[in-house]
Amino acid sequence: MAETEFDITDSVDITDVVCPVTFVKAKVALEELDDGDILSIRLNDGEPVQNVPRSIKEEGHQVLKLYTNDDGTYTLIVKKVGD
Amino acid sequence: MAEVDYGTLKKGGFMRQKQKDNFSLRLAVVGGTLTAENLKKIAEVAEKYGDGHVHLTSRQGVEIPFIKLKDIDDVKDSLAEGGCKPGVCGPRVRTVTACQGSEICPSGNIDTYDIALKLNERYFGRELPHKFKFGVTGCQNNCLKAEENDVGIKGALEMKWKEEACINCGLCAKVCRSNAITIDDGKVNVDFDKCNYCGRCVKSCPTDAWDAQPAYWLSFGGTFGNSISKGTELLPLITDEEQLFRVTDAAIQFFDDNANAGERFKFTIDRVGAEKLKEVLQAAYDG
Repeated sequence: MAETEFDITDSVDITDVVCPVTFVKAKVALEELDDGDILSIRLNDGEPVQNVPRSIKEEGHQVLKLYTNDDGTYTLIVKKVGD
Repeated sequence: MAEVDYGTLKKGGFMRQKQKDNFSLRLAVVGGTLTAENLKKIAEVAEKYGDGHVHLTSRQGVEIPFIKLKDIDDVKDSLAEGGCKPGVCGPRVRTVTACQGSEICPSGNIDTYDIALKLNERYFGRELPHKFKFGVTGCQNNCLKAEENDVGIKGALEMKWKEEACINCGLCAKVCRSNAITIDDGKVNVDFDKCNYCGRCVKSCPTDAWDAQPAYWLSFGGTFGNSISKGTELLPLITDEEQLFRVTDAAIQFFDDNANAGERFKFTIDRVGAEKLKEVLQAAYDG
């Protein structure tokens, strides 16, 4: 997982699943966190990176950053909003 | 029995069937939307006056076949109780079709149903030299096939980057199918010569870092029957609703003024000249 400037509470890897489970897995990980906690999500190129960040925003959470990793994956940093 | 005026029946949505004295009744449907109340009444009429089935037409219409000539008035009254009206056939403005649009679909850029209702209000049933079809689709995915119609409306987004909300994730550049977005030194640049205003940058943005307004691409002269031709864009992006209706008014008036009887818009455009239509449309566009 990429080095980040954020204080990561927890991490989840969704590169082992496909749409729509990608979003569901990220959502479940977020549900286990508290308001203000920060989740790091590792996701694949293509559909996951195009859809998951937006879906997370639409759930009301705050997307802080998206890093491009050397192995073709991405790391999305999300701050949980609400309990 | 008095002589049957098939022309009037057809105008009122009653299509003569092969079977003597049987009609398939076309209902007015706007933007593919019917209420549950409408559907219950349609089902009731189909069972009572038809043969218990309905046909869904290729343009989001509903027809109730096997309506008997003698029942036509009772059928109309009965349908009216359920909020349904007969549609039209023949040389006039037909059903305005629409996809679900921005109120339902995540991809939608414009409120297609609202636009369809307004077009319907403005033009439905208007007598013209030949049939005239409007279709409204919410985005470039074009589920509603805008260019099949005499006038097609396609939703777009006119957008402007909001630097303060941007986290420089680069998704907008990644999803752009026109390669119109570049990011230099943390600044998002849009090449508007390449941009088709599809809205994918706005939709994909995880921080709402775009100001976006609904906008419209119009196509003219589509037809998909005996002749097949795709409607063509003759104008730049339309950026507000008033401008949209100025242009549709001008297009339909051009058809009314110039078309020969039984001539579809495409052939009027070919005969009179696309440049001439473009002049008229551009004047309406400019207001």
